Amino acid sequence: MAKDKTNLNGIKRFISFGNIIIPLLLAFIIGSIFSILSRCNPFTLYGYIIKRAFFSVGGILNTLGYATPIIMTGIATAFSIKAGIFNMGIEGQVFVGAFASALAGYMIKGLPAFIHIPLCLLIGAVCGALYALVPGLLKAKLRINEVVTTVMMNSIATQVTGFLTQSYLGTGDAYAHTEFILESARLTKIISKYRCTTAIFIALVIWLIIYFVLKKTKFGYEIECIGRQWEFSDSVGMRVSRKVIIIFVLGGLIAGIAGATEIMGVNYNFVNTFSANPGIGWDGFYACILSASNPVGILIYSIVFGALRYGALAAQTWLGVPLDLINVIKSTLVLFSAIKLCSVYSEQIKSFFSRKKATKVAKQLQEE
Amino acid sequence: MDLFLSLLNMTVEASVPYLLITIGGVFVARAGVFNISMEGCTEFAAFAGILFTFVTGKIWVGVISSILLALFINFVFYIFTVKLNGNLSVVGTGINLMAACVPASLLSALFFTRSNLIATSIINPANMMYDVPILRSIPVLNDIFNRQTLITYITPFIVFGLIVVMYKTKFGIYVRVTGENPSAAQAVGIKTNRIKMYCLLISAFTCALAGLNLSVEKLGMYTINMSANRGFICLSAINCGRKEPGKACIYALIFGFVRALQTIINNFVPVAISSLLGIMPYVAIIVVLLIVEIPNARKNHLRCFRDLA
Repeated sequence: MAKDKTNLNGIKRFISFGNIIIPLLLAFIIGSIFSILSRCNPFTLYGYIIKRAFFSVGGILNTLGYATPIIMTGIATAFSIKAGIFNMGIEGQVFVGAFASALAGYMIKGLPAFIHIPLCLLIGAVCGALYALVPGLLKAKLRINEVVTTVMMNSIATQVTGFLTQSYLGTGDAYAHTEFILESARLTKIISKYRCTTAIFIALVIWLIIYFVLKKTKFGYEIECIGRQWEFSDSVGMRVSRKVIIIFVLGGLIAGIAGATEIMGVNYNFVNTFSANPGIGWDGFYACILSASNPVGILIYSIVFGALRYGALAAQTWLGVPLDLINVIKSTLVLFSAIKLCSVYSEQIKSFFSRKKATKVAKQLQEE
Repeated sequence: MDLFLSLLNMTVEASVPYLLITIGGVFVARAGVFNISMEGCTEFAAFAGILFTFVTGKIWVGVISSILLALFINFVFYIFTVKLNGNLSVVGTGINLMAACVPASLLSALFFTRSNLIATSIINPANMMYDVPILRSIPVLNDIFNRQTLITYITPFIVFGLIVVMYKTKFGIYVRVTGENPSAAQAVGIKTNRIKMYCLLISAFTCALAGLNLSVEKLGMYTINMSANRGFICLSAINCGRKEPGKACIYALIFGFVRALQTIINNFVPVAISSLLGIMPYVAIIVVLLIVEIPNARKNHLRCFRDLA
């Protein structure tokens, strides 16, 4: 009997393993097709990316640098996805937060670094949160579908910030950017040449806090309840609409910090393309969807995506492979991870294994 | 007066994709499938239309392959969500994200550009407009409706045809029942999955027409992010119209009007501000959604106990 149980557990593990592996395989097959189309051997490409991203100190630091904002945006998305809310507005909130902190970075003068840095982060976070408040209110009070509003808000954020950098707040240079932020607002880099800054510690602290909140507090439990059955949660007495607003605002807060650290640590000024194609908000969204909003999974996927991002940039310059190729792999990964093929066919898999066992038993009987 | 007429003319031109995507989306929404991949479907259709026209040099090949690709995408959506139980939003997002990067990567792989594919050597946009002899002699209507593209003239027929299908045919009843009460529909013997598939295919067809209208007919070229959130805009049009085809189409017309207004105003303002005007359609949507939903705000405060009492 006990043996039977372990066998069943084994099958369950096999199924959940297959659910992760099959989308990966399919996505990499499609990625390979596209990479062959762009005249590049897929294995060279993958090998090159892995080599560049992980096999040197600089590579690891760059990978972590690219992963830093993704950790934050991923965990920000996880909050809302857990509650069954498809908040796609993280990208827009990142833009608003980044823009606000970039302005605070050069407009507020004469502060020492230990006040200026937190102040900039705070301003970025608050602006991101305020921007997230709008779809939150619309969702909570008026039940307006959050997918539509957040996608619209993304476009508004990118266009308005782009407009402002071009016209009123720009410096009049050939490419549109705001003025560089002051020395006192810059985050220090761990090794000056590479991308990774002290922001990674901010990201990890945020990650730890959210992990704790989601797993160990009443609020985290309520989020999960709302995600499963919001009508039930509402009638039991959790104030769902208030929670929805809080979820949106917290997501915006973290997204704003992500944008701010990107400006204060890496760019030092606001350029409309700072959140490069497809955007750190979207990368966080990918990470969150792929890990089924599991915090540990988000951490792992963020680092993987950071590596892909850095590796893809390197591959673009050294192998001439277009950056979009990596995005194709990522987006197909999202598409295929939506279907849990092994879970759908779990009955067949189980019967397959049990049949195998049955034939084994029959063989043994025959031999005896 | 001239300005007003050209505004109306632009409205007719600009609302065509909105109307098409909306009327197809209404069917899907009515069948109880929350489909956010219309955006991606339109984008893919627009891209395929130009790509195949450019490669083969024949417009009809582009048109047919674009429609086929759109049908294929929505069929994939059907298989992934209805058959294999995938999360609707995740699959839809996956398709949208693919639409954002697959054309770009194909373009850079095949033609070494990342931004656009120009097929004006094969398609002359000026030739795609039709001069209707009857309209030519009528003064005001001539300015508004004449010299539009073929799909523009087909669109009203498609819209009215599909409204009739929705309300006057057996299939329409099946669709509505499937969305409102799937188990009842199944109990009567309606194959709900098949109904959902037909609805998705209708939506794919209209999305393909919208994409073709955007790329092949109007411009003869494809640029990245051509559908420009039209799928999401139509989604909100459907939501505003409470999934009723007629009302949803009126909202689609409003959004088309805003888009036309933006293009007209664009001509009179400096370049710097015109980039700001790009947000007009998006702001309009949020405002319209607000106006539509505020009267219902009371109903949303539901607590089960109060409902029972």
